[in-house]
Amino acid sequence: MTVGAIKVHEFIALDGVFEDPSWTFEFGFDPKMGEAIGAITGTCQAILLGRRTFEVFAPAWSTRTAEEDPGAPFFNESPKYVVSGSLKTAEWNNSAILGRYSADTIRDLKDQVDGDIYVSGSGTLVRAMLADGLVDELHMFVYPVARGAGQRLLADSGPATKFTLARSEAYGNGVVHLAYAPVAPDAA
Amino acid sequence: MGQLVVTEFISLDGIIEDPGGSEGTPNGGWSFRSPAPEGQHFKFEELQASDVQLMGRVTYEGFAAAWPAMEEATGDFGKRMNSMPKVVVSTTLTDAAWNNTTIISGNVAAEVTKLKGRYEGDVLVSASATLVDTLREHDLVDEYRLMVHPVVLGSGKRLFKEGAAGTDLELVDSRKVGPDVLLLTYRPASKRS
Repeated sequence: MTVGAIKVHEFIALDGVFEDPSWTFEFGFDPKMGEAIGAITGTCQAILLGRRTFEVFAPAWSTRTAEEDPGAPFFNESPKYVVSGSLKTAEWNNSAILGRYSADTIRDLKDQVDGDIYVSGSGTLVRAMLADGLVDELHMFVYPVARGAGQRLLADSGPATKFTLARSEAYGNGVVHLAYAPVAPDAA
Repeated sequence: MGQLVVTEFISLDGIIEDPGGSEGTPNGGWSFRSPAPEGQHFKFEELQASDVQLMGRVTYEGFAAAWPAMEEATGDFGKRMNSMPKVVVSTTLTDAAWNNTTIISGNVAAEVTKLKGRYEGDVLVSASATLVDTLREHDLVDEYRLMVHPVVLGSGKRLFKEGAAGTDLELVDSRKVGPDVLLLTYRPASKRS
């Protein structure tokens, strides 16, 4: 069995702010963007989230049907793993708690899941996985807005990381999809 | 009237500090790690389309130390850098020795507005993180050209600093200028023509 890739998907403002992306709504949803996101989720057999994102996604997605959002079955039916040292119960269908973050836990999950693993939001988790070289694809959908305030995906003081640009695509609504793959430090 | 163009080498985490290494910062020189041959061509055309360069003091000091000795290595680009008018914004600088440089020491918004009125071609701003914050606060930026390099630096001055006012933008163009380097061009929505 081949080890699956960890694919990180983020909606992000031009200034790097990714918190509570309700500000993306005004840009509408280009159908080609839906295809690009479908191509990301299409190979994923599991969802990995940080605690805060899990707590936002769980109530939002669990009440959504496939008719309302074609992404609903993927989110509601896929096995979900939450990284958290504090969460005691995960009520959302097919969810499991992994406990506190450790690189080994994530590596074990990659071994165990037959397919790729989807990650979204989850800034603390994504930064930790980038630092540990565990992210295989970083998909950023960059919106044409500087938010000014709000949490940034790539916060100060993380280690320097080099990437290759695997793909890029601009949509009619001004959003640009940037698909990067980190370069392992020993290969850089 | 000239357009004020902010043109930046920028990392994936939004840092624009010392891409060329002339400021001697620990991360300096990161823009050279990813080749962008078409980007170099673009930079030359951009320089040709500009009548004047506007910069902050830190960027000025890095450029002024580097460019006079670089004409042999960079040819027409270096010649243009050294010969064209340059304006540096600083409250502390009294002597700007780089050829064809003048100093703005106060009343930045009004002085830059006058500068835009004085030229037909572009007023070009590179790097100059602090100055760009001021220009944005006064809605003086007409275009952003961001050459996105595939690197997260982790620390350094950012183009859009934390806590600044939000800005709505329009995507004017996006294209690859090197295997891993993208050029994204935005205009503030407030400048919609």
